[in-house]
Amino acid sequence: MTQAAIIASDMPPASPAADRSGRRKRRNALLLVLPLLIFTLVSFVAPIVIMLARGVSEPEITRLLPLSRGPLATWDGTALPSDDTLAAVIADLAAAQRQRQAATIAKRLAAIRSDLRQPLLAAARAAATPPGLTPEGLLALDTVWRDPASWRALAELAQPFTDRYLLQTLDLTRNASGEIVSVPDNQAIFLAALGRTFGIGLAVTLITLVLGYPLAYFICQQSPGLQRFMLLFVLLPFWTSVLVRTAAWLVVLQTNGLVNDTLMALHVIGEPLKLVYTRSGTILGMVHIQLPFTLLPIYSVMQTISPVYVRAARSLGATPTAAFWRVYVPQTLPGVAAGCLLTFILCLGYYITPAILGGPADQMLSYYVAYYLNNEINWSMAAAVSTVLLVLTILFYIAYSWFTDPTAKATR
Amino acid sequence: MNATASSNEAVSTRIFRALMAVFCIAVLLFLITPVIAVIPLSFNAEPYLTYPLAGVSLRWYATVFTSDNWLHALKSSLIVATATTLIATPLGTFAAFGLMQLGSRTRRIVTGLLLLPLAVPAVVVALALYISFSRVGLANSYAGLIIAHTALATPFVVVTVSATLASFDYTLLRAAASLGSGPIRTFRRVVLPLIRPGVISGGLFAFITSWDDVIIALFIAGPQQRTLPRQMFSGLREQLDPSIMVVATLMIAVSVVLALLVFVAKRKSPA
Repeated sequence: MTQAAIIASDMPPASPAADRSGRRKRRNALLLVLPLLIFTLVSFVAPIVIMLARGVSEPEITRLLPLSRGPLATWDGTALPSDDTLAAVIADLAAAQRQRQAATIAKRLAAIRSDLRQPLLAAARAAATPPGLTPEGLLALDTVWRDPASWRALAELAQPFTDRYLLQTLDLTRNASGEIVSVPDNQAIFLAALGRTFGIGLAVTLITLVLGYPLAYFICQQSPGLQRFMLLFVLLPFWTSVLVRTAAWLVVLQTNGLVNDTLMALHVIGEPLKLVYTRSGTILGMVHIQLPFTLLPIYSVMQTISPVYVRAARSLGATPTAAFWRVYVPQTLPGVAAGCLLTFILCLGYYITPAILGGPADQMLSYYVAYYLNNEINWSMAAAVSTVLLVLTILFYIAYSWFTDPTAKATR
Repeated sequence: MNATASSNEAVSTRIFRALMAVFCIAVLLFLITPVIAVIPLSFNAEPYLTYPLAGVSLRWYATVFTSDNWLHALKSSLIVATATTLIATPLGTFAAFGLMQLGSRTRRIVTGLLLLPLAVPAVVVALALYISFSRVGLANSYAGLIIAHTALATPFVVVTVSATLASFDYTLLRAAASLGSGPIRTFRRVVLPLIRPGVISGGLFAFITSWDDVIIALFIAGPQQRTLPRQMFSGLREQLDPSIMVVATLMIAVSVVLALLVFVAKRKSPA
């Protein structure tokens, strides 16, 4: 507790004047926090909310179907839509064609039903060409338009909110009758990506623990001067940017890089190993970046552990091994939990290191966010993948704060 | 018999200790080697990134410092990081000072909210800002990049300054008030001198957050705002030559200098 809080609790709320000055103090305090609070709300929280909304909606498509949106939403979905509804669709398609946006609708419609792309483009062209298109003309244009299922697909596209992108991030989709089913195997990529993200995160966490725990223990055993010197080796890379360190690994791991040259010179290997653009390269780079994050919390817990417990265990007849594992290690577990969870959480969001050191089969969830934004130009899908990443991160942070927050521990 | 057993134990302990030391030194070398290894490569006379060096030269430094792309990237990085520092430091410092004077429950909630940017993966923030900024014309602009970096940097300022404020003696505020000093004067003349090390460290953290960022720049910077890390990222994926090692070396140098400054600031801290 801060001194101010102690002083405040010591003072009885004696006079109304003191009460008023306390209130004024709190108001002043709030005024100091307010600028940053507003800044964070506007430039961080609001964008996140907008992104979450984007993952379940597609405003640019909805905007292109202003007239048909309503009628398609109220249509019962069994028989063909009424002539009025068809006329509205024709008007929207003609407008879209004139704005050169028909392809945008066709592309998104094809994501729901791939065989509708060409018929929709043809319908939009016909609608925008004088003398236009009548409802009967539209139905006669292609056999697909006489199938209510095609109209259900268009009705789904016109809805203001959709769960199809979130479903897609779990390799799920809706079939013609609206039930949630798995996507065909050749389109299923996300569960594998999710598994890979967890797998790489777990591997990196375990390796950093295996390397970091002994090192933290070793550093703790040294004299204070030597401790500072050794920590320099941990902190210098820690301070260097992730990109620079990833670039360093790219150079060190390449075919004629330091690692291959050294191993060849030592006759450990006969020919260079392929280390860049591989899973092992990615994991190696990530271990290097995350090791300080795992090590430092363990180190700071170890520094607070008094040697008397191990000494007591030894004097009671425990072997050094037993004293270490049954007395020392349990005391370090809070640091281990904090360090490992932090590393695991940070690993979930990795983008740079797999992008540079990994191959196409080593990309993690973040890659798909960038891919859908830059390559597919599908913001909603990018937002949906991003939503999954955000939810996972928050869940693990809750676990993290549970392990590190002293108030949570007290209630445990 | 007993004596041999205990001497056996001593020998095995010593062997174990030696192995442990070798292992730990290897891990320390693993941490430091890649960072150190790039530095000599930036002085290579030939366009290769391999050892042994073909000769020592400054030609790649000359390449970088005469290249429009790199110089423009350096300028962008300096503009964005400086602006971020100048905005994030006062915002974070005032907020940290205000937070300390709030009731403990309000403080916990507000702090959690202010530190939220630390918890969200960079790609998520980058996409959210890109989608939002493109609606209001802030995508592909310096202003957008500076706002984004400031959002990511302020939590570091809040954390660092709060740590310094934890040892701040609040009776000083009442002393100053009883001597007739207004809140602004008290802050400038009493509070700021005492928490200056924390404010400086916070500012340095803000600078390095912006200086090192790739992902936000990748998503929301246009060709005009290409920062140094952004340019380096493209270089790594397109063509790898020693000029990238020059930039990497410069970035390591900046990190080391900033780390040293933080260290010095902490040393001067009265706490």
